[in-house]
Amino acid sequence: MHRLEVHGGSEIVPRVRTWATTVATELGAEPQAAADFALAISEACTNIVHHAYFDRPGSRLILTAERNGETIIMRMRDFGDKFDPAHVPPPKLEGEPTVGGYGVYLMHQVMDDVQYITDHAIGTELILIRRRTN
Amino acid sequence: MHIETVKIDDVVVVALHGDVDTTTTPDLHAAFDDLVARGERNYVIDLSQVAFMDSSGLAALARLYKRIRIGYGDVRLCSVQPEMLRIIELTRFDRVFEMYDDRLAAVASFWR
Repeated sequence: MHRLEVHGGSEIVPRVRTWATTVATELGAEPQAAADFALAISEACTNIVHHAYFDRPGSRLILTAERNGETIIMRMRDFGDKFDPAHVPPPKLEGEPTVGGYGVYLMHQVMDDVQYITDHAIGTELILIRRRTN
Repeated sequence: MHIETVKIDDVVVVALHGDVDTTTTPDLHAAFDDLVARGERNYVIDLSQVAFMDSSGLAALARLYKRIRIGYGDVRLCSVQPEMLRIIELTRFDRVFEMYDDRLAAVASFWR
């Protein structure tokens, strides 16, 4: 299992994205799958920094990645305010674009499954699941 | 991310170099704000050197688009890389923004 722990503000977003791309590739992901993990992780990390930690500099994230057969599973654990996916409205996909609101939608589009564990005492755990091939 | 701005007649070409995410979009917002304040209405966003953009970047494009359309201007995209095309199509931004293969074609589209 691959593991990364990071602390900081929004500057951690590109760092975890690079980690996700590298690790996904090492776990056998084809280029599109690795790029999809990079996008999903970038979206998730951005949301955590802004909404779980409110842009405070002390964000703490623990990421893990593993392969289970043809599936790659990445987990992202934060210790900030809890996230309730039911409170995220779907984005507007017709007519004029909205400014924001596409992050969670994109995660669901590029991953085979997105799960949230919200019953930790503190924070939220996000699980991203994707087949390693296109 | 590096932002390069070139004016071609009444069209501003904004060429982005690097990844566009929450760490780099503040600079993008500032660049767009400055151009809008100067009265620029026609924009071509050159994405030839952008291999990654997440929803933060899309939000910056959408914000510029909404502001410019009020003044009867437009924002068009050129040289969208394959990696970026995916999120543009998933969010249906391709139904909002005219897209062109290269900068010249995008700029010329304002003069048709």
